[in-house]
Amino acid sequence: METQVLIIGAGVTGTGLARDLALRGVDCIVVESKDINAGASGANHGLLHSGARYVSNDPFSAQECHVESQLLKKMAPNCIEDTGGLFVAVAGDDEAYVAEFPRLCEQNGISARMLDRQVALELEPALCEDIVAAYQVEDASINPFRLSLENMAEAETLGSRLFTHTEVTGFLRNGSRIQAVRMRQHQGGKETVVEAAQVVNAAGAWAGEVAKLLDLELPMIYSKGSLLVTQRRLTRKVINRLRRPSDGDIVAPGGTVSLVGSTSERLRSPFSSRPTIEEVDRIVTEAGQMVPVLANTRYVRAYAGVRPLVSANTKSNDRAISRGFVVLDHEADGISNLITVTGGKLTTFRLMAEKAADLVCSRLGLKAPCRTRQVPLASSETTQWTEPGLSPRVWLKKQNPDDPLLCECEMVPLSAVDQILDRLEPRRENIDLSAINLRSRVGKGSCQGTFCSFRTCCHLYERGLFHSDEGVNQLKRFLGKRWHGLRPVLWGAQLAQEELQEAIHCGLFGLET
Amino acid sequence: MAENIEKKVDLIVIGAGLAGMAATIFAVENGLTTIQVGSSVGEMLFASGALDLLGIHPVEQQKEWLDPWAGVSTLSRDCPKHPYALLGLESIRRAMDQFVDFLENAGLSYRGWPEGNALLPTCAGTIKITYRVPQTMWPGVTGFKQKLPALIVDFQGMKDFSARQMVETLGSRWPGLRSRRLDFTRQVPGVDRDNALMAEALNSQEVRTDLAGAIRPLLQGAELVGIPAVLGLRESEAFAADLEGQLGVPVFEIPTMPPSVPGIRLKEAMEQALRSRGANLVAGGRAVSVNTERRCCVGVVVQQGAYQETLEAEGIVLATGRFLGGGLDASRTVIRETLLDLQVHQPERREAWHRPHFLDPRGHPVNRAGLEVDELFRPVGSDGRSAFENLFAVGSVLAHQDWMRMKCGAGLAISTAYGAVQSFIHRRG
Repeated sequence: METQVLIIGAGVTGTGLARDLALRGVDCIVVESKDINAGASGANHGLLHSGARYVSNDPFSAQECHVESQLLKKMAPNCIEDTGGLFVAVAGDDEAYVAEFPRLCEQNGISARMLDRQVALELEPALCEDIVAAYQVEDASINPFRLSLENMAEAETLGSRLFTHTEVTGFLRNGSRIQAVRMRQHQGGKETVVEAAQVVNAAGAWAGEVAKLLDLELPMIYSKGSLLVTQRRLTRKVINRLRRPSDGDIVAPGGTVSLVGSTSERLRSPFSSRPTIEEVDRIVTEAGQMVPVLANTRYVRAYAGVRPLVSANTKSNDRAISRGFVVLDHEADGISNLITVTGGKLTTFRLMAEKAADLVCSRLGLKAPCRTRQVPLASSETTQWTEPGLSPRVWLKKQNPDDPLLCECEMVPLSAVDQILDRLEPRRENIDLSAINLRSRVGKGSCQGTFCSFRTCCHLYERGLFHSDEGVNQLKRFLGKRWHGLRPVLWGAQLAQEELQEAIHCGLFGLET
Repeated sequence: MAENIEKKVDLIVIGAGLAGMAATIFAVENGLTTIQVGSSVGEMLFASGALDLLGIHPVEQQKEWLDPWAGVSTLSRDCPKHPYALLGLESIRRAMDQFVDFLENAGLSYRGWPEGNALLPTCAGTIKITYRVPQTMWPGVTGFKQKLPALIVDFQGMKDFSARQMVETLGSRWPGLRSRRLDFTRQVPGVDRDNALMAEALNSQEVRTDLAGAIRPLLQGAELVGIPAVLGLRESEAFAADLEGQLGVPVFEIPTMPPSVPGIRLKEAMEQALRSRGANLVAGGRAVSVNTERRCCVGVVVQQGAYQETLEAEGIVLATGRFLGGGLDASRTVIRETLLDLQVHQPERREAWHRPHFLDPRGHPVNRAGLEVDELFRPVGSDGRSAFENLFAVGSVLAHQDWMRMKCGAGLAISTAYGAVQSFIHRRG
């Protein structure tokens, strides 16, 4: 196989880069060891930062966020809900910081309008009565799954290719050049060698692991962040704590739910990051100081991502490390056609892709300017189903008796799952419950897959995509994976829900036997 | 509140799941005046319809017991705090026999091997180990045992069941299984059809004749036909016989995901039979609190719509279930019993409630949390004495059992209900 550019990693950076290059007429292959947004791209607040959060400790990132968020609101409106945001301080928060905040925002060109306490409470009735300061900012909510799926889909329309569940296993060197990249499919173990003129390591937190295959060392820092998903949306706007970035600072809307977090825990490797009970309790306590209902609301799950941070100073507080990104040219390391792009934020993914693509193009000797500042992201029927609240609207309008709801919590009809399968099947992409969960709201509602996992299995058999006892194994694997996010929030109503899940899947089906 | 309810009775049973129903049945069969009130909504909708006794012990070894009685003996020895150990084999046997007899008289026949557990094919294509199954499921048990050539059918538009999945999954253990999907959509109203809607449609003789007509050409040598357990909301046995008559081969039902039609049938049959025997079932009522005087429970405050009323009884049976049933509730730090704040046996910290892996064969410690009882099934306090002299607890709210993993849910509900009612009678003298 041959391509101009091989991109390793199908997170928001890799898929964004594929689209950027495709729009410049460059042919790409994206290889991903799991699936789209498997790392931090799929485990964040879904927050399009106005930049205000970083004005004190990372003004450069703050300005980048400001410019990029304004641009993305125009270029990817389908992925964004322009909610606006608030920064609020509660009694006891650092008054000096509160006083400094408007000046810092102004210095960085970021809009922050002071709100009267009463006005803020009217805008967001869930806020604590005791807030002592409130500022309105231009934060927004962004759906990172839809974003990456649409970036990749558009790149594919323009000729790029995607290989998911395929791992890069090695590089074939020819002097200072990478001649080809060896990759292996997880299922079946098929090995492929791809010859590429340029290779981009966009593996996020795994960028260091990829570099190791070339005996390169990247100064990576792995900072785990855990977040919570509430059953219902608690605020209209993004609510930030008006203090120096710390744990449990942000309550962001995610369509029909709220996303609450996060934490910052240093890990030694990017593998197996799971939210813990202790983190969950910390988030509930901290964020509850801004939004008191968080103490009593129902959480449907927790999740954790690993922030890929790059720093020379590994002893510093991870919150203080820049959220800026790096585009590393490995020429100095003796490899002339490798670039690593990592660090950064969801909000700045487009800029990261642009900078990486600029370098790729200059190396390819192409004079093709970036077009992602002008060309809006295309949306399609098959990539829209991660949008909360979309499938109920579509389904209720159609009233088609041949289109039952596979997922009742999120009202995902069979027709939506079929559209996803129609896209995956001809591409021979891995088809399993996780792939459908990633591309829709299946398994994301309050039952966390208790019912829809089985119904989706039924349908996959009916479509002839599952055979033998694959369904049972899929249920085990899928529910086992969801468990890591469920376990830390099992109290109250969600514990009752879990009991039902176990009654069905163990009591009736005997999946544990 | 219904005017005809006696305000003072022998026994009030709180809870309308299987344990609550069983306690009411044993109380009424023993001539006690009884009121049953619910604690939450119908948990029975979730019951598969099969009655487990004991399938697996010890769970960490996944040892299956084809002879549940030998299993119960071993369990009672290994886990002396398991509720079964308080009862003894003979009481459990009497409880199960009486309960199954009651159902038979109520119009629901249950079948099983005389001394053994049955292996029941489920809609997932897995095999459930259980004790007694509805008559309508029995040919599935015998058919699987003999590996008869069988046809499994399902219906277009039914989202909770795939005959193809069942056959693909079970095929290696039951060769000679085939699957077919029938177009049944026109027969069932609604846009999103659940099992209950399907069952409703099959209540019609005309629809069943259509169904038989659709299956007949597909038989092709099948000696048995399996269909999802939606064969009518009532009279399923007659409907199965009707289909068998039309097809010339036995027809069996396969347990499904909730809402479970056999669960609905079970509940309705029990309710009807209990009403005809004079039990007061407070439909739609919910126990909200219990009045106590020193070590005695004297009344239950029942909420029905906007009305509250206090009912009095000599004894109270708590059959309120666990977290799903509402008998237990957990905050982030502690598990409480919801009606009387009784002492709950539980792991010390939330970290220990659940294991890191969902399907860990040992089960989750939180599922063994619950009420500890004395030998009369009275919940005990921290001093080991009964908290109240006339309060009994039965079913899944009890500690030291994991019914989902041990496959002992129905047996636990029925036998502890039996034990508690016997204790009440014995104590009253």
